[in-house]
Amino acid sequence: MLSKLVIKQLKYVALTPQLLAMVLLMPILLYVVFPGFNTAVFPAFMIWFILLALQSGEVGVNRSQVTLALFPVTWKDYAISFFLFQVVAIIVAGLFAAVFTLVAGQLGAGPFPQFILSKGLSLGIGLGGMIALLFLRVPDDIARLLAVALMMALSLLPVFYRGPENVFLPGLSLPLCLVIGLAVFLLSLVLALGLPRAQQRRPA
Amino acid sequence: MENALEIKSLRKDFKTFSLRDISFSLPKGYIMGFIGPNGAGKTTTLKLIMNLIAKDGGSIQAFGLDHVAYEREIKQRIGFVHDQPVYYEQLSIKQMTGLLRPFYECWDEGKYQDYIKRFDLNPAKKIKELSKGMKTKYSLALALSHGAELLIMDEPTSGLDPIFRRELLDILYEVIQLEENSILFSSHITSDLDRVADYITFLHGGQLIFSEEKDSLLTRFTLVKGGPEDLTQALKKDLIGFSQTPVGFEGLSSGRLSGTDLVQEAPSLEDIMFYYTKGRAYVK
Repeated sequence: MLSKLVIKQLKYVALTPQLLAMVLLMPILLYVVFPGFNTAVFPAFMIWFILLALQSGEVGVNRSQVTLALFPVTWKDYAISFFLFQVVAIIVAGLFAAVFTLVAGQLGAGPFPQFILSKGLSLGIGLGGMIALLFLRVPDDIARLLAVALMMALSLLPVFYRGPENVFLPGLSLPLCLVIGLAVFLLSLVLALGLPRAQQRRPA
Repeated sequence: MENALEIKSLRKDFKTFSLRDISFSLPKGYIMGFIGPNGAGKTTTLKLIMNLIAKDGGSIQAFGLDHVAYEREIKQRIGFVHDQPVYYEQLSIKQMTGLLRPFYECWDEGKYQDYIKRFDLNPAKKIKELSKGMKTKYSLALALSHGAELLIMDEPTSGLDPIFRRELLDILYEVIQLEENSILFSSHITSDLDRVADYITFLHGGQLIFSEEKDSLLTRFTLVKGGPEDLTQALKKDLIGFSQTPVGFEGLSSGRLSGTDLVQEAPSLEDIMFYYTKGRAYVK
């Protein structure tokens, strides 16, 4: 059932190509059009942007309502499948960012700092978990709003990042980033499944 | 008699509203009208049945199975029609059905295609382009195609034109005649239920007022009418509710009043709901 739910969500994203194109192309557009984004730490921002944009856009609209009301699944099925979908989204975002750095490198951009993708992805795992927790515990509309706010806050990263040019986040080692990412992801999963059901508002 | 749905002492507390001690059962093969004014707790009850919100007390069983422990199995056998149908609006009917189909073990594609044709639904049309009536038809087509034995419908006729409402009621009646299906039909348009319901369950202010067979209900209550001078204090005490105008009064009593020449007739469901809801103090 869990795999069916993840496949269902992937199919839905695939069936809305304009949405997928927007999620993937928006960061590139920012990179090309706005000089402030055209910095060495952009690939990490790109991973996080894709994760947030994927949920704050059309994919996040009525997601829980549609799934729980129309599909013969439990809330727990839905919650776990949400986290599994996030794993897939992290992989896709990572691959896309990797392709971007390769192509951008060929076109003369960069050099990008060391560990930019690996640390960006590691922390992205935690972000993915937090997004899932947010959308599972908070009503969809508010969760989407918070995701957009977080996306805007993260947009400041490429603009204002003032770290050394050769290593991304030198204060955090790659294993530590991975541990932080996985710990946040697992904690989000435990909180999402362990706390009492969030839907306590009276139906309209 | 085997029950499709059995609810006992159901309770749900919100900050500003509580659903208290709701108990009723729907026997297999019948239509139950679920009535009450807006805000009575109908949608809350239906969402509790579907486990879309968690209950605070009581029990819900569908087909003899606990609705939480056997949620997946039960949802395979239930068709839920929302008051505001929720779908992935960007998708076409065909795409949306393509997502749903693999989840239902008893999906009958032939039946689905028949309903799509019968309801005049264009599979290529995007869901966001469908009217409310078309969305309701689509919801019904989905529910009937996965072999739902219990249809739970939340205000399916509200906001629809009379022609489609009539058509929908005919379809429901047909569904009940052909198969061992049961329907829980929430509505505040009681005239719809006058036509099709076998049982009526009435909620008001989060409480169950009654749940019984429609025919016995309509004989149990009496609509009393008379001139302004007939509405004595003693009579007021006997009435569940009444409305008064300068030229007369109308009220609802539980049973016929003896020893009086007041006009007494069978009430409609709307009369019963109105006087229970408005209580004793209503003056036109």
